[in-house]
Formats: sequence, structure tokens, C-alpha cells
Amino acid sequence: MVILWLIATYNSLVRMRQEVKNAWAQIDVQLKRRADLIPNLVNAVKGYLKHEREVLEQVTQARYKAMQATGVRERAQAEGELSQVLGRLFAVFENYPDLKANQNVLELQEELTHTENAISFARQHYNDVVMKYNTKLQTFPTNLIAGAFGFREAEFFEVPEAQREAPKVDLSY
Amino acid sequence: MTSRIDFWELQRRNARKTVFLIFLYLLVIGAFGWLIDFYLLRLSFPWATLIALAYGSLQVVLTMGIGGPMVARSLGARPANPKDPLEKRFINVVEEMAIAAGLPAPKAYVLDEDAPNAFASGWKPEKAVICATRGLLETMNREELMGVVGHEMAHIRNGDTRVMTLVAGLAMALVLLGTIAYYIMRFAGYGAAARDDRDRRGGGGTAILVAFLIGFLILVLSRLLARLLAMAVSRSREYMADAGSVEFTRNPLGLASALEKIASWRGGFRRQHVDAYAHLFISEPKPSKLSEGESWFSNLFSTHPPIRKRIELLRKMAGAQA
Repeated sequence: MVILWLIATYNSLVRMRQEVKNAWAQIDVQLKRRADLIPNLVNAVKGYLKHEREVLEQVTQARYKAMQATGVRERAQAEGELSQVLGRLFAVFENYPDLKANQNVLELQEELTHTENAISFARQHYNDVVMKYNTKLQTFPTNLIAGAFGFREAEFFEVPEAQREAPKVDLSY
Repeated sequence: MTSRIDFWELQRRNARKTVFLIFLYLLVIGAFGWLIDFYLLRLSFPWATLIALAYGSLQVVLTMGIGGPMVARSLGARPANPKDPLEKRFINVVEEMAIAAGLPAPKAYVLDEDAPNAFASGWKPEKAVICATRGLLETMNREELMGVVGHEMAHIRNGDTRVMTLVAGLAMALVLLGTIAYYIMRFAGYGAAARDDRDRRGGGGTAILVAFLIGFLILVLSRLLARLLAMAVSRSREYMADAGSVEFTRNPLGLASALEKIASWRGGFRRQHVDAYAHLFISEPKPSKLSEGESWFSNLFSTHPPIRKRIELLRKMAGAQA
């Protein structure tokens, strides 16, 4: 009985740990995609935004910082900042009607909105999976053996408090 | 995190309801089978019940594994075109919801209909499709579209194609039993009449009529119960999918507003062959006065709960989140 229980618990912990890893990989994929999209967007709008050098500069820098970041917490911080700066850039778009008429820019904007959403859903899914995994690790009787087999609690992908209320990218068009 | 309790709890409650309803379905089939095998046919072994269950299983086996793309095509849908901005947005939203659900992204299909509606189909998540009408893509903003696609994604995650295929199999078994009973009673009636004639007793006509009426009653009852139970299961899955959509988007008001728009749409589908797939859509493709009525009676015959009630529940979920 005890051995059967041990096997079942061990296997389910392995499965959950793998789910956490997969969910993290998904976030990573989306973050990379965003990093790839940004230079295209910056190039496409540069011509229109001659007087907005500052915000474009901020976007480029935030992107660079996010790509350099390592570890869950640092990464979350840097990516959160990038999201915020991008939101500011989209807000600036509102002042340039020509920009909103440019098909290429509209397409890029939809792509970035998509990637922003994909990132936040990947993060949400990751955090849900982590919550289930950690709860399982902490509850009796799993907690008796989890440590012995080397299962450690996973870290949440948390956005810093100040950025949580950051305005969403335009969703209404 | 009090906000979570609602949609998690709502999904658990409706999952339990499905299990209960399917158990009830089996009980009803058992009762009909018992009546026929041991009372009407006086057999020592429940042959009719077994035949009916085998027939139902056969239906399940024949339809299982049908890929989502096949269902979508048979309804006249086509793959979404990434060159079209609205359809590109739809493809993107399907991908986003798949990420939220932790599933592989289903294929996005478009049905050229003006009525705003959507459905999902597929035996396995890997082979599933989410299909939206062109009208849906044109009427909904991004948030509303996310709500609708989230609902469909929840159907896929919850394995509702399997659930409804199983239920269709049960319905066929039950209706077959009812039909068997009907023919037994008709033959029994003639048999009794023939005996009466031989004995020169007369009254054969009455025996035929009584037997026919009893048989007919069983037939109607079996069809009625088969439909009622299937619809009840379908409704429980709809509530579950609404709550699942909220789990993915964390935005009950997006779906609520989408349902508002769908409810205010006047006019049905141009295509006539959507009836068999009515349970797949986010709202009934051919709403009748009966199915959109608010009474418990009209609700009994609907694949979907009344749209008003769904919106009300979503608003409550939003309240719990605030």
C-alpha cells in the first residue's frame, strides 16, 4: 500500500514539475517573439514619430534589458517594464492619424497586442500550474516525501505591484 | 483570491451534474430494458437491453475520432485566411486562448454566415477546430471575441465532443428500446386479437387498440426522456464552458457583452443543416420562441441555458472579481 502510494505520488509530482517547465517554456517563446517584433515596429513608425525619439529610445532600451535578464524574478521585472513602455508607445500612436491609417503599422500593432496577450496568458497559466504544484508539495501527506525526492517549490512569475495596473494595449479596434 | 472560487466552483458543480445526469440516463435505460426484457418479452436474459446498448456503442464507435476539420467542412466552413485583418485577429485570439488553457492551438475556421455564432469540435485537443461565423468576427471587438473563443476553448479542454457523443449514443439506445417496445405491443395486440377470434370471444379490436396505445405511450416516453436528458447534459456543459472562458480570460464582462450582442441579433442561419450540430454552437443557431423562453418548461427542451441567465451569471462572476 505504502509503496503504491509512493509510486503514485512520485509520478504525479514529476508530471506536475514537467507541466511547470512547459508553462515556463511557453512564456519564454512568447517573450522572444515580442523581442523579435519590436525592431520591426520601431522601424515602421520611426518616420512618423520624429518628435517622439524619447519613447522609441525607451522601448529599445527596455527590450535590451529584458533580453539580458536572467532568473524568474529579474525577468518578470524587466518584461513588465517593457510592457509598460510599449503601452506608452501605443498611447502616442493616438496623436498620429496617419499612423493609424498605415496598414503595415496596424498589422504590427495587432501582432504586438497578440503577443502581449499571449505573454499575459502564458504567465497566468504558468502561475496556475505553479500554484497547483506548490499546494501539492505543501499538503499532507505529500509534504513528508517531496523534500526527500528533491522536489522544490516553483517561483511565481510576478509582475511588480506598480505595473499590475498598467493600461492595457488598445483592444477595442 | 476570492475571485477564483466562483469560476472554479461553478465548473466543479457542473462537472458533478454531468456525472449525475449520465448516471440517471443509464438508470432510465435500465428501467426501460427491464420492463421490456422481463415483463413484455418474459426473457431470462436481458437481450433487448444488451442489443440497445450495443447499438448505442456502435454509434459512438462510428462517430468517435471524427476530426474537427471534417465537422467544420461538412458545415460549409473554410480555414481562416491570415491575409484578412479580421480573420488574422481571430487566428491570434485562438492562439492566445490555447496558451491560457495550456493546450495546443486548434485550427481556426470561418463560416460565411452573418449571424454571430461560433462552435468547437474535435475528439482530441490536437485535432480540434474552433469555427466562428464571419458575422461574429465583424460584430465583436477583441475582448468580446476573446470571451467567445475562450468558451469554445473550454469545450475543447472539457472534452465536450466526447461527452456529447456518449450522450448521443445513450439517446439512440433509449430510443431503440422504446421502438422495440412499440413493435412488441403491436404484435402482442394482433396476437391477442387472433386468439380472441379463434375462441370466438370477440373484442379483438379493443385488445389491438389498448396494446397499440400502451406501445405508443412507451415510444413517446422514450423519445421524450432521451431528449430531455441529452439537453440537460448539454446545458450543464454550456455553464461549464462559460465559467471556463472566465478562467482563461479573467474577464467575465467580455463574454457577457458578446452574449448581449448575440442575443440582440435578429435573424437565423441561412444554412439549413445546422440543426444536428445545434449543441456545438455558443448560442442556438435557430433560436425559436420556445427555446429562448424563460420558463422552466421551455428550458427543458433547449441545448443551451437562456442567454439572459448566462449573462446574469457572468455579471455575478465579475462582481466577485471586483
